[in-house]
Amino acid sequence: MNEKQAQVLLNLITLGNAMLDTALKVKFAVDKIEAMSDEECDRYNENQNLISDELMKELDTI
Amino acid sequence: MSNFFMNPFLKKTYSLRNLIILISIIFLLMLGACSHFQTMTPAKKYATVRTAFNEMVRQYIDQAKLQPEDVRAKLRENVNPVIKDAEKALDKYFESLTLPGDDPDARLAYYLDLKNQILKLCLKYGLKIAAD
Repeated sequence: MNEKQAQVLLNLITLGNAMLDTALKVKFAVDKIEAMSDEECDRYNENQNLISDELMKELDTI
Repeated sequence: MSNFFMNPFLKKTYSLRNLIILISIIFLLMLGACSHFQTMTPAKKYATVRTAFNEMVRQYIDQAKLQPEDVRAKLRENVNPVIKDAEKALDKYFESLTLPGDDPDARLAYYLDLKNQILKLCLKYGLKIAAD
């Protein structure tokens, strides 16, 4: 395997790793959401909206 | 995970194009991979999509910060606006869910159309940057 092939392989592994990491986090979150009451879900949504706002601000700092 | 991305060799070779592909694919996962999505209440749908969106943006920010300055400048110019548009588009989609007497089929069509628009935007910018 030459260096370019190794780079491609590493990129693929990285992508797969990142995708799995995100998909798993979302899967666990969905399990939690499904078990929530309506009130808990509303509070959860308010919190997620705040997180979104913070992330949109953080986007400008990259 | 973060240690994995801190590998200097990986950091050097992790290309911008892959970042774009990553956010496009995660967006697909977020909008399409939840098997119970169509049977959820609107509040739970919102929670699911918002959580996935936040995770996607978190992942994007963490990885973008590892890129060299010239790449980060391109990301700020070309990809950040797409993500901000997508954030607004999510709200727009969920506003449509609360319309009284809204037809479920129309909502689904709207959701699919929105997903396609977002993916087209991601691909458009992804291809443009990859071609640079």
